[in-house]
This record gives sequence, structure tokens and C-alpha cells, in this order.
Amino acid sequence: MILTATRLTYRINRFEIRAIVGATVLSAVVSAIVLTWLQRSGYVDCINVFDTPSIACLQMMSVGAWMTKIASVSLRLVPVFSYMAGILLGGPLIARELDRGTARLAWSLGPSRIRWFAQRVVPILILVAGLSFAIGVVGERLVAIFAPDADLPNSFAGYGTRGVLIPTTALLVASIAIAVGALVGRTMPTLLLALMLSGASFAAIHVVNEKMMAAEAVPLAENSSNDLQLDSRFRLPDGRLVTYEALSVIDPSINDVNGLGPTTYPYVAIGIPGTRYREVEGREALVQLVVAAAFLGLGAFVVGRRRPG
Amino acid sequence: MTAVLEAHGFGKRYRRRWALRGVDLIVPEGSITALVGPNGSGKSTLIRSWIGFERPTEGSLSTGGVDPRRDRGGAVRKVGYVPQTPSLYGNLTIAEHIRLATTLRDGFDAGLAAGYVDRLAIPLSASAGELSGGEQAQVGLALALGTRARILLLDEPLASLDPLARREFLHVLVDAVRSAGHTALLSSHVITDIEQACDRLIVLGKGHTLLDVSIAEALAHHRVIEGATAATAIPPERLVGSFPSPAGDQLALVRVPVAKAIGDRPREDGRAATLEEVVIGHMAAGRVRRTTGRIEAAA
Repeated sequence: MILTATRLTYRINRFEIRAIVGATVLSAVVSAIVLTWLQRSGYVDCINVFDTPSIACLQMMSVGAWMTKIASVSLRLVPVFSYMAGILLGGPLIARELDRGTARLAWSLGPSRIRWFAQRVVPILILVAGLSFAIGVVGERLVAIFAPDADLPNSFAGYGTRGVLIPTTALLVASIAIAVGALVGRTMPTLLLALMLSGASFAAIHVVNEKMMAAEAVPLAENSSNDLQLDSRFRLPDGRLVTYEALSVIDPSINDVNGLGPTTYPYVAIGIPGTRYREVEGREALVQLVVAAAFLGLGAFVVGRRRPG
Repeated sequence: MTAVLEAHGFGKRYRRRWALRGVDLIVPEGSITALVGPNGSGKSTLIRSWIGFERPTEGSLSTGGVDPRRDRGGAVRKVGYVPQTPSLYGNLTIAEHIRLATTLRDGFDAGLAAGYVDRLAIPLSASAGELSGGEQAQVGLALALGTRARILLLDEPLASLDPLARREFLHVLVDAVRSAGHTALLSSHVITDIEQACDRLIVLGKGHTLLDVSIAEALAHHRVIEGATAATAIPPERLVGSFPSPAGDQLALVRVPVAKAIGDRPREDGRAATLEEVVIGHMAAGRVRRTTGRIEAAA
């Protein structure tokens, strides 16, 4: 019965599903072609050579520039995918059924609206999670090309454009869209409202996360591309770390153009060491999942209470 | 007589407007009851309230012994519902609709539903979006019958159907209800169909029940007096309502005292009323004029 319900949910929403699955497959295939070419052609080695490039390198420069451009655009589209998948698959899910009156048919047949809600929502969320996870993996591979020296499991390189944050963001957006759809009951307004609310929710979570990270920031080791730099300080002779403003009060001569300047004091980057990447990523993902669960709960509550339209 | 649908002092208000107020009626078990009334008289509101789609503002309802306000799921379990527009999933086949129903309702009889669809020569493999309005209504009815619910609520399912489709729909409905001993409440504007299919008549208007009798009683207890001036001579206690004939003549619907309904009627009582005239007469009497927060009879 679960399989039947899942299959029917996919059939009912097949247009959006085909669009998002198609976009995922296209993205994965294009990224795979680009990554394979960049890794096997030797182009990456060519652009890192400071001597006169070889004839072979010169010959692949034009194609290489295009491949790099495609990889760069693909990487920028990874976070966009989370929104696209969440909005397009989550938004119409409940809203369209209310809009077209099919919810009335379903609710008159089934005594439990929560069962109906679960039959609709769970398969779609699984699909959203699966597809966006695949895109997260694509993002991981693309970041590896652009940051070849990074130790990705312990690096903030490409933070938010790879890994587990892609599926959790997509689940958050989908859950918001589902809840908005249950409240509004109209497809187009749901899509627009869900887009705005998702952006606001994501920004709010991001701001809270950044504040938490700022409170946890520590001096970073020099020349580490794995760390997440958040701010900078100057080290005083007694070891204290101060901001530029604080330093200019302590030693006004740093503003004197003829003086020694702030370079007298060692510059120290502060932020989150790359070793905490998994922990910070997991924390943000968890917050997103909790907020997503709250929106799903709201959606279920509204479905249980509202008129079928 | 066991009542399967009941309303006691039922009222429903949308914002400041009362759609229905003080409705008291019962639908007896095993009957096919017609629910008629002018547009906006609250027929759909009442039906939707019995299935738990609307919450009463005041009063109480019972659906097969279940209060739909307290136990909506229990009320849904008791009924099969056919709305005015079937609202099928346009991109699913009829077979998929039946499968969908089995996932939503425990005990849904897929074979029975498929049998009804098959009987009407509607292919199970056809997409719902390809069907005519009549066929979609039939599928809606087949799904409602597949629930094997003992109460069927039909909210103007005939409204958009052509005469042949209406006839086929009613044939399936009456056959199913009579053979299984079910109860059906059918709201409709098509009086000729009601006369053939139903055995009871409820007329809603003025925000409450204007008439609640068997079809036989409705016909026996009313007569029509023709002529524009005739109505003025009728005692007010006997006059139900006056309304124009299709030709423009003024007609008056009058009540026949019970004793006279049995024996020969005096000549001045006019001719026998058709069911349509009974309904129109009561609708004319109960024509509503809504004002904010109350309903009052038209002058």
C-alpha cells in the first residue's frame, strides 16, 4: 500500500518531478564531463605552471577556459538547486490539490487527513533529499577542483555549496513550501510566498549560525586554506588580540602616516579551524532540519483543520 | 423510523452572514431524499457539514450516530460523498483513482467500484482528464459506492450533466441504494429527476427547512390555482406561495387539508400540483433577502 501511494504521488506530481530529476541528471552529467576532462587532460597542471607553457597546454587553453567557466557556473548553481527543488516539488504538492479540488475527493474518501498528508509529503521529501544529496556530491567534486589543496572533510572551502547542507536546505525549503501551500491553497501565490519565506528563513538561520561561529572564533594558523576566516585582530606585545579601532586607541601612532603603522603589530586571522568543519556543518544542518520539521508540523495541522476549498 | 442524518438547531455563519440557522431535520434510514432550495440556501453547506468539511456555528449534527464536529474521521467513515464537480486527478487513470481510494480508506471495495465503472463502459485505463463531465460524475459516484458506506451524500452531482447522463447517473444511484439498503441525500435543482429517483423531499430556504415530507405527501397535500387574481382569494393559512407560470400567468400553490387530500377535492382547489410547482411554491414563499447578520423573508 505504501508503494502504491508513493507511486501515485509521483504520478500526480510527475511534471515537477521530471523537471527536477532532469535538471539533476543534466547537472550531474555536465559536471562529470567537465570534471573528467579537467582531471584527465592535464589542464589543471598547465595553468599552475609558471614557465612558458608547452604546445599541448596552449592547445587546450581555449577548451580549458570554457570547461572552467562551466564548472564555476555549475558550482554557483548548486545552492540555487536546493531552492528550485524545494519550491517546485514542495509548493504545488498540497496547494494544487486544494486549488483543483482533488483534496476534497481525497478527504471524502479517507477518514485520516494525516495519512493523506504523509502519503503526499514523505515520498516527495525523500525525492528532494535524494536529488539534492546527489547535487551536494557534485558540489563536493567541483570544490575539489577549485581548491585542490583543501582537505575537504576538514575544510571550509566551498562551505554551503557542497555536502549535507545542500539536501537539508532543500528539505527546509520544501517544508516551508508545503506549509505555505496548505495555508494558502493556491499554487502560484504559494510559489512566490514560499520563495520569499524560504529566503528569509535561510538568511535568519545563516545569521544565527554566523553569530554563533563569531562567538566561537579562535586565532587561526597562518596560510591554512581549510579554515573559515571570520575577522582579523592585531596581537599586542602582551599577547592580547585587539581590533584595529582598539589598537588605534592604545597606540595612536599607528594612524600617523609617518609612524610605524599597524604592521608593527602582527596581524592575526580569527575564525573556525577547518577541523571543526563537520561539526559546524552538522549543527547548521540540524537547525535546518528542526525548522523544516516545525513547518511540516504546521502544514499537517493546517491540513487537519482547514476546509477542502 | 431510524434517522441516519440529523440536524438540530443547526446554524452556519460565514463571517457576519448566516448561511443557515435553526435547521431541524432528519433523513430516515433507507430513503433517497432530495434536498432542494434556491441558490445560496445552504444545501451544500449542510451536506459539507455532515461530512465534517464545515464546522457548525451553532446547533448539532449527527452522521450515522457520529458528531462530525467531534469526530470528523468517524463521520467520513460513515459516508460516501459525491461533490458537484468530481475533481478527479486529471493525469491519473480511473484504475489509479480506484487504487488511490484503497490507499486512503481501509476496506475500500476496489472490485465494486471497478464494476460500476465497467458497467458504464468507461475504460479503466482512460485518463480522468479525457472523460466527459458525465463520465467523471459516474466515476465520482463509483468511488463513493466503493466505500461501501451506508450513507451517500450527493451535492448537486447532476448540475452539469446532460439529460442522458443524468438518467444513467440516477439509475446507478437508485439501483445501488435500493439493492444495498443504503440511504442517500441528493441535492439538486432538476426536479423531474428527483421525482423519479427520490422518495422524500426537503426544501431549504429562508435559512431553514421549509418542507420535509415524502414525495407522495408533497404531491397529495398541494394544489395549484391558476389566474392572477386567484391568489388574493385564498385564505392566508392555505397559501404557500405564488409564482409565475412559464407562460407568465400567476399561479398559487395552496395546501390541501389532510382530510381533503384523501377524498374528492372541491373544484375551487384548482388542479393537482406537480412536484416542480410544490418546490417552486415553497421556494417563492421562502425567498430570502439577506441582510448583515440575519435572514428575513422577502416582502
